[in-house]
Amino acid sequence: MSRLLIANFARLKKSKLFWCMVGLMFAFALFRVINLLSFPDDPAIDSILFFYPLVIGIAITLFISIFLGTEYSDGTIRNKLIVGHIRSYIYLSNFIVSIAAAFIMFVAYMLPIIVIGFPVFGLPTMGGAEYIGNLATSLLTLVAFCALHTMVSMIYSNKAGATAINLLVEFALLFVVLVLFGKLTAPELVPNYDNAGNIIEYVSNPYYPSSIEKAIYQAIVDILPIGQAMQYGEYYASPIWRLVVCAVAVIVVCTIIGIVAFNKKNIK
Amino acid sequence: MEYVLQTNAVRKEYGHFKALNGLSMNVPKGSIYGFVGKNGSGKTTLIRLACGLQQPTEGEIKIYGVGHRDRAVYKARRRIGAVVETPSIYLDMTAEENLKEQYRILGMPSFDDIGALLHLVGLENTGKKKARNFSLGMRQRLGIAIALAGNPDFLILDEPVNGLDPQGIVEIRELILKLNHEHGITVLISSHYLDELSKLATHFGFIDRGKLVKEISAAELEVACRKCTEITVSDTKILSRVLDKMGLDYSIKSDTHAEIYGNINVTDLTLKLFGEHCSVQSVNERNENLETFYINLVGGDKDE
Repeated sequence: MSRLLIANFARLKKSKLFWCMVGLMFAFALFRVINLLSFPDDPAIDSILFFYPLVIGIAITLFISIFLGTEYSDGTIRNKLIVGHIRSYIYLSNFIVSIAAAFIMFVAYMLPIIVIGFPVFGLPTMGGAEYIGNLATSLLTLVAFCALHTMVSMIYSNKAGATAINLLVEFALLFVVLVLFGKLTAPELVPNYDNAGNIIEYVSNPYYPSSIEKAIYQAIVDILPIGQAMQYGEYYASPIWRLVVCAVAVIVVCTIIGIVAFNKKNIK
Repeated sequence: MEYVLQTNAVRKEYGHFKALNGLSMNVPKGSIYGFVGKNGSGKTTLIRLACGLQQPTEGEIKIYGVGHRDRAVYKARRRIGAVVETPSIYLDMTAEENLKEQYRILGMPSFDDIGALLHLVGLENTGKKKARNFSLGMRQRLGIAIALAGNPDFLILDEPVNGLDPQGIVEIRELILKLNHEHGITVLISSHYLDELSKLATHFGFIDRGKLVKEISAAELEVACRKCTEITVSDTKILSRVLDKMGLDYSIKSDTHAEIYGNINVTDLTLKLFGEHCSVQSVNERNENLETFYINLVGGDKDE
């Protein structure tokens, strides 16, 4: 598998799309840091610290679809199979290079924050242990993104099709997660107003989910990588251990399904 | 005899469609094996199975004696190079970068041979030109170069001269002959260009509707295709006596029908048969080549 990894990393190094995305992550983080200067009274760096799983999650979706899809559209996946590389190793090497790409984008995102953000605005208000926990788990969420989209891109042998599916699914899931977050963060009591607009009493919110509904919504949000990405550093986040379990579950399940399906696939 | 590729009753089904239906073939080591068949007969499907891109529904494929279900087949495949249907090249890389990538996949220790390989296929002057800007012929050549990257013993070429100009076809033919004669590389080549194949191949396999209908060496094919005169007479016993005296090679097909090989003097033969009271009812000359042999084998008109 080492030969496959060397070949994949050499291709990654040459990929203009990859370096554009790395540049975009850097530029985006730099923009957010500079934008914080507009809020001198409340410049806590926390607000941008854990935004990267969402942004990189979407960027890596696009990157994986195109980078891995090229192997099908150009037919070069055949070169690896013809000379005797094992399919599982081909899959895993593609997965590993996707993870590496995501982590490099993460480094690019963090650079402006570490170099400019921390010295200017100070360290995150959350404690060191909490920060490390969130950081490690959020990187696991990035791996979950990679697992999901590697699976789709390796099973679906049309580059344009895989890209469309990956992006559509990602944005559809983002929409679902936003709706579910709305329900999860809905207040139990809502104000009742008189004609003059004054609050006369608080009444039960008819849209407040039941405890079972809450549990289901939370489970969905926790399982979906994009749902996990939106929770880091937020007050409504699930416990870290739960996010870890869900991320690992997504990684394991997607990788197993992906390898099994790819092993059975008829390559043209 | 040692075989590089053997298939035994291989079947490949896609849903209800049978692409291969019990195909058995043997590619001898050191041969140039011409694989001939109509569009949709199963040539590319067989090549895909041989290259490990797909698995057979039934049957066995052996590469250098190793079955396709054996883990050792992965090591055996290291000795194969192939161009399957279309060249497998990264379009956003140059020719040299494509070969470097293939060298990395193979684990080759250095890139020193790349220049010579590009020269071999006539792409030494492509410089920084990306493969997406190559002509079809250039892409075919690069595909062949990539197939040759690992110094394979066995080269599988699926219609390698498609898209090439006449000069390109000649160059590829000479390259294949050079690889076979000087380096002992076994070549399996599928092609519609029967005229080209007849100049190249030492063995032929004719496939039709997913089955191998005939496997024949070039020498045997030459015998089968030699100049032949079909003659219908009143008594082939008299004919055979006359032909023996004339020292001609022949084959008796029935009491009245025979085939005579080589050049014959029809007048002389007719007069001699007349002298023996044997009447000649018809004389037809038949020249077979690979094309007519193939058409007679699988049926259909020349216009198909």
